[in-house]
Amino acid sequence: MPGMGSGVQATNPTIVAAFHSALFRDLFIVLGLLGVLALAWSVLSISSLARSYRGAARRGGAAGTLGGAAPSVAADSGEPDSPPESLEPLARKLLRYSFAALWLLDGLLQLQSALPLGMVSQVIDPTASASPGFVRTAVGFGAATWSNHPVQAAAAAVFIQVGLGLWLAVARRGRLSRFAGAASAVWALLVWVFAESFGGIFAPGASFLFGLPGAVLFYAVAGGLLALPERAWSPRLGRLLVRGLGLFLLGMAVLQAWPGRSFWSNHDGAIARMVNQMSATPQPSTVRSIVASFGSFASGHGVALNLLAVVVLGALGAAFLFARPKVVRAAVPPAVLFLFAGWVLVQDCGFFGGLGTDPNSMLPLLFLALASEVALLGRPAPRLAGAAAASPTAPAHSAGPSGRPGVMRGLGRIVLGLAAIGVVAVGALPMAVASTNRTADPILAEALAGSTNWTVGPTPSFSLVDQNGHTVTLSSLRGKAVLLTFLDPVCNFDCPLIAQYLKGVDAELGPEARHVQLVAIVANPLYRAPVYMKAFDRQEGLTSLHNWFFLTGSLGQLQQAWERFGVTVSVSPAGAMIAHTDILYVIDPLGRTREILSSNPGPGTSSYESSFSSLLASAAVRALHSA
Amino acid sequence: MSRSGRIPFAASLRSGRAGLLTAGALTALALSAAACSNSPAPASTGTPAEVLRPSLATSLVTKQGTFATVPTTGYWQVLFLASGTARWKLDTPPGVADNGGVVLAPAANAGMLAAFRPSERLTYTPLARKASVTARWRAAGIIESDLESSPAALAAGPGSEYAALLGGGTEARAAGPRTGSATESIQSLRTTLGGAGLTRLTAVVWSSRLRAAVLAGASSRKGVVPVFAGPPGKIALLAAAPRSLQGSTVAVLDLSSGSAALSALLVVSGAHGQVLEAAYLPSGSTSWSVGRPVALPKASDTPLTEPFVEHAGGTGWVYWAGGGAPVDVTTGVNAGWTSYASPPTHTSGLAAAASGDYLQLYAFATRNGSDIVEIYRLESDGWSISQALSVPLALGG
Repeated sequence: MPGMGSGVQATNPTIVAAFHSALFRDLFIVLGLLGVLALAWSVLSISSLARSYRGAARRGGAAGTLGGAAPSVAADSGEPDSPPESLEPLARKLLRYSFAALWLLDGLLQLQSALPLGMVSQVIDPTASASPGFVRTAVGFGAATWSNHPVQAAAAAVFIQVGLGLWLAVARRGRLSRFAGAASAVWALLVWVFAESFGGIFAPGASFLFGLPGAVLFYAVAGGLLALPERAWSPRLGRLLVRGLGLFLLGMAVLQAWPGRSFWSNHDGAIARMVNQMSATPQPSTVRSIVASFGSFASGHGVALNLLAVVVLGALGAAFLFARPKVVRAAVPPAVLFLFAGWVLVQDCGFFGGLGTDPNSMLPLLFLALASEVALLGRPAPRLAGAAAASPTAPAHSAGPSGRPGVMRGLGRIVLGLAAIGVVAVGALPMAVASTNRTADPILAEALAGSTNWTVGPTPSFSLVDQNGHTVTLSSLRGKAVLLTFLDPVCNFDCPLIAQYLKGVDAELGPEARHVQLVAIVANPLYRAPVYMKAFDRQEGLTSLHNWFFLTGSLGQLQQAWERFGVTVSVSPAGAMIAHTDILYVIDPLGRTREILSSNPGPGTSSYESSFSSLLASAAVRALHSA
Repeated sequence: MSRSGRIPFAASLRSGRAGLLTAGALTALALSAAACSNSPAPASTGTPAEVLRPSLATSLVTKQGTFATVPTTGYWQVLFLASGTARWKLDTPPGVADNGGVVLAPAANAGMLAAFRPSERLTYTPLARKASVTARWRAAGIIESDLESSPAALAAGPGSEYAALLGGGTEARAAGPRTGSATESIQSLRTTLGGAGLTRLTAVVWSSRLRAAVLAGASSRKGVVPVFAGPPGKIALLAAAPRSLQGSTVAVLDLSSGSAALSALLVVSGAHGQVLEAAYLPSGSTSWSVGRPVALPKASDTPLTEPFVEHAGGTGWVYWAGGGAPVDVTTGVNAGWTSYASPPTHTSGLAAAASGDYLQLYAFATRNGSDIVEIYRLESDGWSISQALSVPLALGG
């Protein structure tokens, strides 16, 4: 029935099933890739071992002595001048592993069944709608790509983020590791701009406590740091990072203290509102009760809480800004406490509030702060026993203590790194292709239309007149595929949408459109004169279509047509529009019905419009070539 | 504040917003402006009167009864109270989603024309007409534009003719099966009217006495009552402003035509702020008469205005600014304004109905999500519920 405002639930079974299929398909590709790489690694291992034994035999050395010449390739990086693995700066290692874990968590969060359809409506749109026009324009590109290809995009996000996490975890050193950081930064920035509306920094009411400037911006910073050459990891870098952190926290303190933003309110202040809103979302009962208790407290102590936040942010900011090692060392524990408390109590651990796709900003900032502190204080990297002493910047050509097995480990890590890149590529390549395709996937329309009634049978006959007064019968349409539906010319929602979908079919078919007739029969017993149909045609821009008929007739003729096509048309009381069945017949050139589809147009977004047009165009082409 | 609920007036009622129509073709906006057409000299420029947009919730008093337009959850309803009865009944025109609002205009022979303002994805204005109060609503064509959101944006002429304000008060269109369609833009009206300072069109009414559509608007010129009529290119102000308005700018909030006089509800902006005044233009007069002013309450941006017509003294008016403001009523020329108790909370519409020699006020209260319209009647001790009308909530829209 029209006018129901009916869309597709985020957990629509058709979409969820397609999402799961896409995940399994991509997983099989990943497994295949891993198989190939494992095979390659085995071959390389065997040949390397064979070479070693042959070399040992030639030198007359004892079997099993593997202390031959050092390979020119460093242990795990493939980079000739990399220091041994034991010398990866501790701060970098901390950053790499923590953000690897975050990307893995984010990737797993992307597995939520509601994400294909919920990402735009529940994640992207809410922040974008509160942001200025230029942000909405930028975000529109990302939203359109996701909306047009929700299943592909959601599956891609899983593999890209899991892949980045694996890549960071396994690529410890050298170029492969730095590339992982760079890739991580690039993807984080894409997410920050196109999915998180620049972290909401331009939206009113933004606050550090609520996630400003966006979690993924910290991912981008971390990625950028990991992309730096390892020689850059020095106390100087640590000082820079700590000072930057201090400046950032001071800025956040000023923003938090800014008057007129409803943070300075004891009753229903911004903090209480946010916390109570978060606690109302589905989540484990323990977390809910903690957050709800804090919400109750915040409801009566908004001013005190905000004051505390301002003071702590300001104090931490000042402590970090001066970058004195002793002060920073003393400031880190309270910073950890503050960020962790904020993460649990205000941000609801990030992913519990609604359709969470990351753990929000406090946790990544916490990791970034710890890494900065470690870098500043220049804590030494842990060493393996017997590792050669070397500075992080000194070139080293040692194979490490283990000789040939070290080479194999290095090769193994290269293979693992390539596998991780493969996982990223499994997500990224289809997404890149999808972003260039402006036509929405038919899956959206299929989700709305439900199961298609595939049928081959006679089409009910009719004899009606078109908008120009010419008689049109079923037999007069022979030789063309026909898409036939029922529209109310004074409908104010569904029927204009369906008309646009049909217009889209004409555009999508291109030259083939001349073999397809688009037909609507009036579905209003009261407003059925040609004047209404012409007005509707003008309104919807259908007058320029040469293959468009809007048919009407006497009330008796129309009632007969409605009955024959199984369409219910009823006059609703109390100011509502006519209620009628949303249905579309796909008729082949011989006049046989090939498919019967629901023409429920859904929410009418451009994605649904494109998807429907695509679906209907395919159906028309099938009918055209089936005769 | 509270007075007797039954408001006396001198004689029997005539229809509000348009009197009994006499035959006459509607060519363009009007055939003639009649003898009272008289263009006064342009006055000095002042601050334009603030143009309130009255709510579409209003009532029309006819000899057969009262029609009221009331917003309910998501839709608008037309209610009808037959003369001499006490039970309102639902009479919403079917077949079109009326989310955008319904505008009614009395038509010839006690008929009624209804226009459905565009809403959602509908961009034109379907029309429905009923030949008499007891007849069924029938589809009556379209206006190919968006009808202005004003209860006085539509006027029904003889036959199937109509005049309407469109495009947010920037153009007026008259159309009929015999006369075709003619449109006057506000730019051309400004040119024709010279120094009248017209800023926006606010009301149109069919005058059977003038056999013409009469237009009204808001003016930025002091001392101009922007009510005008005439054939295309010769449109002129109908009458001069009285001395009391010479230093003020005027916006016409609502317009009504009776057999005895043309009446307008004015927002007058002067040195002492804004006031509400009822103005009357009796037959043959060349100058408007204005009643005593009442301070303009600021409770709402979309006040409710209800015209009702007195036999001799011109149109009476009901004005309610919404919220906790009282209901102000003037019953005719020189009658002044009388305040009555503020209607119940949730009131979304008022109606003036004839009850013998008295005017009876009704209030319609609706609650979100409810399918009940509570109908209150103003009694001597305040508002009391008189009826609960069930509105079948329908899917759609």
